[in-house]
Amino acid sequence: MSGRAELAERVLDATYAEVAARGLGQLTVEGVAVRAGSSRATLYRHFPGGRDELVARTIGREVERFFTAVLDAAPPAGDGVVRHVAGVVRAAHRLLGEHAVLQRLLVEEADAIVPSLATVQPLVVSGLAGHLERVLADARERDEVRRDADVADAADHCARLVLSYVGSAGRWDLSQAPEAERLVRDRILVGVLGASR
Amino acid sequence: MGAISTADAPLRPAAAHRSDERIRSAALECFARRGVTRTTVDDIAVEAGVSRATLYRAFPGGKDTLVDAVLGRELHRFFVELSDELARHPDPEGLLVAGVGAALRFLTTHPALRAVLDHEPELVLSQVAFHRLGPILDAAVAFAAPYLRPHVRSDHPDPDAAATEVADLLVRLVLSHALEPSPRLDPHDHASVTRHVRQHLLPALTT
Repeated sequence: MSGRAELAERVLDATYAEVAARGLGQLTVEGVAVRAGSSRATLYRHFPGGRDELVARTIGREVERFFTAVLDAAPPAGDGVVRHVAGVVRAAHRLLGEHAVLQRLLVEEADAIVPSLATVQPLVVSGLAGHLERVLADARERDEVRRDADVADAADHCARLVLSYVGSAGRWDLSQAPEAERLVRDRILVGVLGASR
Repeated sequence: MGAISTADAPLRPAAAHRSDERIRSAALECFARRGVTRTTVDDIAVEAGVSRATLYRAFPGGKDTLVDAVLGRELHRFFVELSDELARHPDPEGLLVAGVGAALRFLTTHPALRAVLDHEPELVLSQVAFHRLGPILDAAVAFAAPYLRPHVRSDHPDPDAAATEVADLLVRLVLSHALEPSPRLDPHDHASVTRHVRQHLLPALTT
């Protein structure tokens, strides 16, 4: 990693640590600089957008890490498309609940954190949809998904709903594998699954 | 709102109700023009052609009360328009196309909602995310489920639960596309809505 990239990583680590320690409302460029062992001037050189850019990029990095962890925890797509997507739903729901910093922010500073999360939502939808499109296309080769299904369209539909259920499970008990699989099989992907579902 | 009988409201003559209604409409105009935060009580009074004193007599809480009143009236209008639309479709495909289409057309063309989403999205987004979605979901599902119930296949072991689950899915889908519109589901294109309904929603309801 170059010195520049290393500094950027260190600054984002410091931003995250500051938010975890003090909350979003108390976050200042000054505080991040001190924690990163850098100066305000250096920080502004690398993050000209200041505080807002620090927050946006830290959230972006956390979201990316979160979904990497989710995909690592879900059963491989080759085990079956319903098992895989249900695994993604369960892992994301569980990891979201276990994310101590996020959960505290949602209680104490919901009005500040939710809009920031919402601004990355389109990226999350398209990122997840991109993954699901590959999974659904492979499943179509195995005849798990109908030959005539539009997988790009199905992936977008699935990504939107998965994110909705992950964020607020509502009446579904997503800690239970059979329940999560029923949601995916009978409600979300029902229209594109092949006869062998 | 229905007609209010004189026996219920002897102290508020019809003229006062007309003026309340004019103030609510003026508030909605103002919100559509510059969002909620930048709208003042004076802006609303000028738009309605009433004095500040008249406005506060009708809405003692000022802007916050007016936001609630306008939101309540618009939600009421949303559900009335939607039920008029749904009542015309006895078949499941027609029902789903009409319901999803009408709900999305209302939400994606509502001037005040779009202004708020453009300028101060946090006002809306913070109300529909994570645990706060619960009450909204419950209300919308309670509205939609009875329309779906007759179309659940007759040998389903628990048709009420099935109707509720599909209603829940529809509400989430509409909300997602209202906040993040996509050409994949264009509510102004009947063929686009029909395709989405046939591919994903009709099977969820009738399988």
